Amino acid sequence: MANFECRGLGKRFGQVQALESVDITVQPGRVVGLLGPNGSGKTTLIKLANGLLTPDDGVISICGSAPGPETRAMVSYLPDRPMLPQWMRAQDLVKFYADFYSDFDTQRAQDMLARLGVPADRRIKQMSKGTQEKVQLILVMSRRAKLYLLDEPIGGVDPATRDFILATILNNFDGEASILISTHLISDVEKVLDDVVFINNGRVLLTSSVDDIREKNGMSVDALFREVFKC
Amino acid sequence: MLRKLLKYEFRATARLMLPLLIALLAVSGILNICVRVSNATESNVIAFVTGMLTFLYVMAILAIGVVVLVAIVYRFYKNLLTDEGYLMFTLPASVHSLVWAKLITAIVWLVAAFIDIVLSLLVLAAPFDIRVGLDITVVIGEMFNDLAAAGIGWYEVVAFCLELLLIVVLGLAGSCLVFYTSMSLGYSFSNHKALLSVAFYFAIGFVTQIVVVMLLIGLGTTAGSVEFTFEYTLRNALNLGHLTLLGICLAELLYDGILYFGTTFMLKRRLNLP
Repeated sequence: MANFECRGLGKRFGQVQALESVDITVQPGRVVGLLGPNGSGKTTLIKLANGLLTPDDGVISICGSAPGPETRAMVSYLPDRPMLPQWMRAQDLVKFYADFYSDFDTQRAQDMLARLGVPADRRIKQMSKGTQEKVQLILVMSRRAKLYLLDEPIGGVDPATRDFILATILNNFDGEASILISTHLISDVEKVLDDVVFINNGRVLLTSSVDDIREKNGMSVDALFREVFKC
Repeated sequence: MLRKLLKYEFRATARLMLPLLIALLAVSGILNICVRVSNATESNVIAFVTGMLTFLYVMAILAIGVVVLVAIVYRFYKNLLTDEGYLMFTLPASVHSLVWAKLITAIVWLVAAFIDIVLSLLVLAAPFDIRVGLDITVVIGEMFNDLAAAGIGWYEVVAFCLELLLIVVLGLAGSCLVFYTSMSLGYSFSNHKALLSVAFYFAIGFVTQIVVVMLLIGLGTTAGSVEFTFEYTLRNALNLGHLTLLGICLAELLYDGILYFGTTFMLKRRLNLP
């Protein structure tokens, strides 16, 4: 069974068709890049997968179930914005996650906080934007979830941290889990991806494995992206 | 899941509410001492301090009222309708438990604020003459005796008190739910979210007024046109009392239920996080 699947998915905001007839399948063990320019519908798709939006057409299933409280226990979601309550300390948030998610690994979270030099006793509002992003990512990646939905996970952090985060993502997930990463920083994430989905104006342009792109097109995903989305 | 949500909800609100509630008691305690000292001496300084503390005491009561109200509205808005909503709505918890956690916490703080104000008044007044406190218990005892002599048992009084308490709690829930409903309606739009929430708040109030007035007119006309055979016995009068209070409870329950359904429906189906 696929960890994530959508069929004929459509979403409108007033007159704007944000997504149209989107079909995507993410199998266990795969790291999938959801790649597209700004406003292409990446965030809308991920919000739909989390049940934060209701689709107008089509269906979504997470490990066979429609998005709801049960699927949220299996999905680890990183939004593209700061979601952590500003008054809480990093260590409070570790407890918070451990309380709500049975798959949360407290030890792993604490190790990563120490490794990235995040002051755990400091309140979120006292941290820099980059540090806040690190905390958020550490919490999300410290779960042993079935599906990770990462919306622009590396946008605000420095390149060294970016490498650490990508290594963490790869090291931490087991063969049964899958990751869907939305980003436009393709060259950075390319090395961790198994498959890519190109999306533009709410429609899927291309679905392929990274190996196929390299073999058939003889170019990197980054180069292909630049060619496909040439302005 | 509701238990965990309540734990964090209380933690988030207590850091604002508890210091304020304690401060009020502290001010009333100090004020009490100052009043006694200023009664015993003729120092202008003490009189001035007493005056300032009285002002502070009144301000503290006002502050509690404002903060409770703001806490109820702001917590719901901040925690569920802004960026924090991304965290809360992706927890493995239902929308129902999210709303219940907010509602229960709000009612508890409203009741706590009320008790705190009453307590502060007692702190302010009681030690002047300890006999006043004793007198009150005597008066209450006599009241029960008189009622018993008239054939009204203590259980009747307890039942009335419970019914009144239920009316108060359901009323408080309703006042919170109006805020919740109007915000979840207003924030489902893409623009002018806050303005629309205010508009929905007044619109709900307006519709409620009309419905209540129409219901009362309806009740009045029905009561006027029906021939009642009401025997004026004590039992019947008490029953009528219970019936009226329970009727009010039922009406409130219906009102709260509609608002609760509206809130959860909007949050489930029309959530529009920024």
